[in-house]
Amino acid sequence: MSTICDDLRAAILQAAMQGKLTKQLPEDGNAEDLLETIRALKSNDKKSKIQLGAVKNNDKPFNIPSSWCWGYFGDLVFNHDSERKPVSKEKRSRDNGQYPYYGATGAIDVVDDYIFDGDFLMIGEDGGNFFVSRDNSFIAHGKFWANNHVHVVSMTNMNINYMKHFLDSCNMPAMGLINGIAVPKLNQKNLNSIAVPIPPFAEQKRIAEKVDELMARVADLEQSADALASLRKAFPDDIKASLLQAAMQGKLTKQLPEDGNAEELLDQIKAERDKLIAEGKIKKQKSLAPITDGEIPFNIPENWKWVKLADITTYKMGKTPQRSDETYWKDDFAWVSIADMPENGTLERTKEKISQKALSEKFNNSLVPKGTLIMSFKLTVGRCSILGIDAVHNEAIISIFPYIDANNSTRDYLFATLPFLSNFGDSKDAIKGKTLNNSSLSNLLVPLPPLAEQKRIVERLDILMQNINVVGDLIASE
Amino acid sequence: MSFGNLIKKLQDIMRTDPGINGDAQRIEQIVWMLFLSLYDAKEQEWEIIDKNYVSIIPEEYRWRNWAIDNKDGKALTGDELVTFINKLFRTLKNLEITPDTPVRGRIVREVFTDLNNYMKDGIAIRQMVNEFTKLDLADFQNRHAFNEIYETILKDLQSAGNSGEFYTPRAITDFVTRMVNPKVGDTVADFACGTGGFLVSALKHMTQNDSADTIESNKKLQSAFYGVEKKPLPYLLCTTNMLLHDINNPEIIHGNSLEKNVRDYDEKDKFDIILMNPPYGGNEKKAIQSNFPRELADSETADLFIVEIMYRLKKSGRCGIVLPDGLLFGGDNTKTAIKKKLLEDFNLHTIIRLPGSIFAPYTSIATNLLFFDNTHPTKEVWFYRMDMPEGYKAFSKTRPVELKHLAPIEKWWNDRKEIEDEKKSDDSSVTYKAKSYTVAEIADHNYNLDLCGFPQEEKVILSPEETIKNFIEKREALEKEIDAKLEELKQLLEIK
Repeated sequence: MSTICDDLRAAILQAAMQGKLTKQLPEDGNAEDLLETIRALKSNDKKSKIQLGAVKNNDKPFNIPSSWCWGYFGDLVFNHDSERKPVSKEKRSRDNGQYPYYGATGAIDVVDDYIFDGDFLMIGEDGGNFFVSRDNSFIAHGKFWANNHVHVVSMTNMNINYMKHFLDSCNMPAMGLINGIAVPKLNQKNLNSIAVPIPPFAEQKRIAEKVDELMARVADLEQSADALASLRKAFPDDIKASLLQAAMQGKLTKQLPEDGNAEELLDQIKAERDKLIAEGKIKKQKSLAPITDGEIPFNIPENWKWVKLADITTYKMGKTPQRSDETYWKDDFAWVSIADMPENGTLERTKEKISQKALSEKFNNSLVPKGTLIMSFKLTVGRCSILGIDAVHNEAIISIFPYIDANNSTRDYLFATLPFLSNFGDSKDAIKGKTLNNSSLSNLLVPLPPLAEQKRIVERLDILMQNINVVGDLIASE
Repeated sequence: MSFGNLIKKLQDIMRTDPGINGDAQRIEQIVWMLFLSLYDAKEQEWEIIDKNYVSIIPEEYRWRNWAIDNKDGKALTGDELVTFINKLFRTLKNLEITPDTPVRGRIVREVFTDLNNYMKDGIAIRQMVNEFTKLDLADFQNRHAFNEIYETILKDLQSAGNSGEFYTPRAITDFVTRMVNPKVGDTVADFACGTGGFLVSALKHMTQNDSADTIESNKKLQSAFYGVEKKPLPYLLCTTNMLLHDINNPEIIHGNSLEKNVRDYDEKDKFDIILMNPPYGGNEKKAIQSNFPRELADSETADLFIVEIMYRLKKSGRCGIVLPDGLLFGGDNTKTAIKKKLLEDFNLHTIIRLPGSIFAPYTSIATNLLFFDNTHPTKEVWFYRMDMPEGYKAFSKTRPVELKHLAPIEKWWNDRKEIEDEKKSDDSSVTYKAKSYTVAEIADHNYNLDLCGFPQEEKVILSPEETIKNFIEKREALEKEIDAKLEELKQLLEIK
């Protein structure tokens, strides 16, 4: 909505310049008279030779009230460009500085002397903000110095604030006034040729004041608009977190009697684990402490069970081969570090690769197969990805192998829930930059549903998350 | 005498004067009298050193010649005093300045350019002036008086909280200065100097640690300091603060250093030591941002100051800066680019995490101390979390942070070790109070420098239904607010 405020600002300026913000009062008189006064003053001034005369009809961009008239910018002001003098940086650095030194976009330094004293309208010449914003000019008061990258004009009988607002209402590039590719330039000829809608003097003041008041209100509005934008931006993540929590509390899915219960699943898992130990495929680990009531983060359905990660999976940490040995680092096999892992996605490529030699010597010649769930646990904790390619990984990541998995139900269930669970356990005193270790990984608490319900939860979450992404986009683009 | 009491007395007197309308005017009254009385005390010193000293203030307007009330009925008061004061202002605003006028003379006119006398009751003015004549100059130098005065004023104005204007607690300024350790011969800068806290702290540190203490060192100190301040009141107080500390021609600029294009800086604009607490939460316009490389520029004032520092720190120079969490966490492209450049081009060796109540009672914003030097790219960054000292739940107005609370950090600084936090139970994850991280680890963490931080307040996750309800309610409230503001705008647009 900040663009709405930008639109408002542009609309206000446009209305101001067309006489639609203020009433035209008969006591203001006629701008024609004002123009005559200015012309007379200028023709008496030796320095001001320019007289562009009456504005051609082609140059009048819109209609103005009858008490107004048009005039060319060059005819309305006194141009002091010839009095400008650049001061070398070297001299400036030697000055103690009590007077501002102005360039195209404002004060760029301070110097010890001044060449101008009074109220002047300063318009960027070289390198002004013509494209970036409409802040084409600024007003300088008092004593100051200016270099030759900024036009210096003064005026009598024209309200300087009105003129500044007028220039701000001009889209100079669109008006074809800007030359130069590397450094955009508004030259004096082009500046002077701008047609200015001239209200009577008293109305100019009213317009300037009205514009200032309105702009202040727009700035105020912008604050509320920005707050709303932040609220909208935060919503998708908030709702995702709440859905995930609800999923793990068994509130997103129905518990069906035909699913059986988690105890039965655990028995199967234990059997499978013992089998693998007997086959020498995994090492026997010391048994973990049972979960106490006090540790349980939230309630779960009757036929679920709270377990520890090591109860239902075996996992492997990775390694980083010595950096100093270049024979380990060739383009043979993908090697994953946390920066390679897309959040909640499939990993297709890695920045770094290791050699066959490294695979044999450091990784026991085995790659982690495509389709495996991996999770980070140091510094960034709980970022999960699924391997889209065979790879190995560093020691800040574990690859996770559920003992029992039917069609990847458990893998997918953990993929969805581990980001939450790995940060939840200690979240009461969660300290940033924390690092899990083998012990805390093994002991990560996981609410375990029966296999069939795990599958339904994953499917439900997929749909809901897709939905949220759509809603989130809609809300963000409101 | 305590400044709190003095200020209160002065405010009570001013309440009786019909010309004063509001706190801002009260401050101006206090400031001009304070300035003239202190300036006079300083002039007395200068007169002793330099027999040819001539005051830029015309004799009749010098404080010593009209302010002292000998209780003999001759002191100016009432309407006569009001007329006199108005003439004094006119005179001092129009003092003749030439390029040869030294800064200590020029300051008088600069100070009075931005000040006005609002009081109409000469008797009240006389009462105030008499309070000032009771002051003892020595008090100022010993008690960082200006910061106290300004903070007292800020407190009363209740304007603390606007534009991140918080004066850094003495303990923090002194700690940062000690760790950066400026020496005689170094040049010291603060590009958002406020009332000059860091500059004075550096001056004191350098004098205390100067074994030589020669005329030579004093000469070096005279031209060692450089400050920039945007707001007129702190600028005045800073300049006066420097004068009081015997820097006779202080190089303090009244301006905004962000207005200069960083690419225009060269060796002359660089400094050996930079110490700063930049304003936070400011919103800089595109015109200002265009003074910085595009990829390093955003609208946040504090971010732009860091970039400016990177362009103005001399080779082998050192910097200590106070920064809010925003930059440390910030993941957007610009903040990341700034942090990357800091780590690649400079040696960011230490980050101290400060507890939220350090700036109490002004704000509870979370801040950090960053220390870096311009020697070589960063290899590793040491983080250290300052926990609340024994017996303190939080710092407050009556129990502010003191240098002694920072002593454990100093001890650790010189003998850095990893410190693990006490674990909640055997299975809890390990967290650290102090630990070093390599640049590779930080890069892997997406340049999020929020490490060794404080326990988070548990973010309550609601049920989906409640989350949605909450969102809708807040959105409606904001939309109502916006509609009301739009309505006001519409009414304003009605032609009058």
